[in-house]
Amino acid sequence: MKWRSGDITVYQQSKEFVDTVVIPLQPLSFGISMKTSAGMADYSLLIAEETERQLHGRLFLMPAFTYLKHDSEEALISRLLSWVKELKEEGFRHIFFLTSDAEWKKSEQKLGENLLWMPVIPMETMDPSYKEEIIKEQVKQLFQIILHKWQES
Amino acid sequence: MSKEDISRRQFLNYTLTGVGGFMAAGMLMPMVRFAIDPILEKGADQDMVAVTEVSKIGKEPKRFNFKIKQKDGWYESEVTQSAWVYKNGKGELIALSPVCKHLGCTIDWNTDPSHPNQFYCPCHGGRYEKDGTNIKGTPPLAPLDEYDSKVKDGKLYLGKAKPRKGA
Repeated sequence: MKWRSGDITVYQQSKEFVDTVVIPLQPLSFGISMKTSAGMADYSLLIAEETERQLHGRLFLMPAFTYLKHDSEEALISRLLSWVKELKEEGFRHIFFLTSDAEWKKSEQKLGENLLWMPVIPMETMDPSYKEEIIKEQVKQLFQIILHKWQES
Repeated sequence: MSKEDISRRQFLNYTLTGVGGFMAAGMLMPMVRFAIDPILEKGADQDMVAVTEVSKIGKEPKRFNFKIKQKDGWYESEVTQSAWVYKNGKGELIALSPVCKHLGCTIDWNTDPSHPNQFYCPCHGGRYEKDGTNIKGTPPLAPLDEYDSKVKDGKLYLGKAKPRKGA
């Protein structure tokens, strides 16, 4: 499900079935790294949307958590943790962060949730059918992680 | 025929009626066309898309992807859809939608080891028989949608997915 009013209606009727949230973490930066950061956004959005399509009924895709690349680490983490707190109160049991920004890997411990880090693949000049293929493969692997978490609980 | 057969008055009558009728028809035609337009319009579900060659379809459900044009307001985009296609015992082609009738996850064939030869939904464990019938005791309350299908020149064409009656 996505953050759209139509999906929210369904969500509110069948809340007990939706227990998983995916939050894409998207960095913003300007100057030379502007392109890289936009590439990350493209890529993680494609991955996130395909995952959501496959697991529509149990997974909620949040709007992206956007931040400036030079925001301080503590500020970011505390902001993200307040999202987590709110989501937990809402009743979500599995929270996944999806990002291509390697910085998050350093603070994985402090986040305490599942951080899915995927190194970015530049897709700008790629042939659409090839692109689709790559995304499908990547999502398949993500899938395994999510399914595994579900089976554990 | 002599010239007096048609009087001046008659001649004018004929010409005026003719021209008037022509003008009236010119005005009425588009109106009538507007009125009956919905009947003449080609139904959206007549747009069928070639999915695969029939020879590639076996008895085991196989997943095929195809693209359809979707109109969302003003925005037209291509959407990839997939279908589980197989031949049943009578040799008929069955094309089932992969969207779980519970909450819309994507189902898969034969992926649950404890229940082989069934469609399985990874989200909440919904299961369906090979013919798409939902299995009682699992979350889905309706059988899988079935695509309108037809075969032309050895190719399978699929249209819209239509819901079927519950089990």
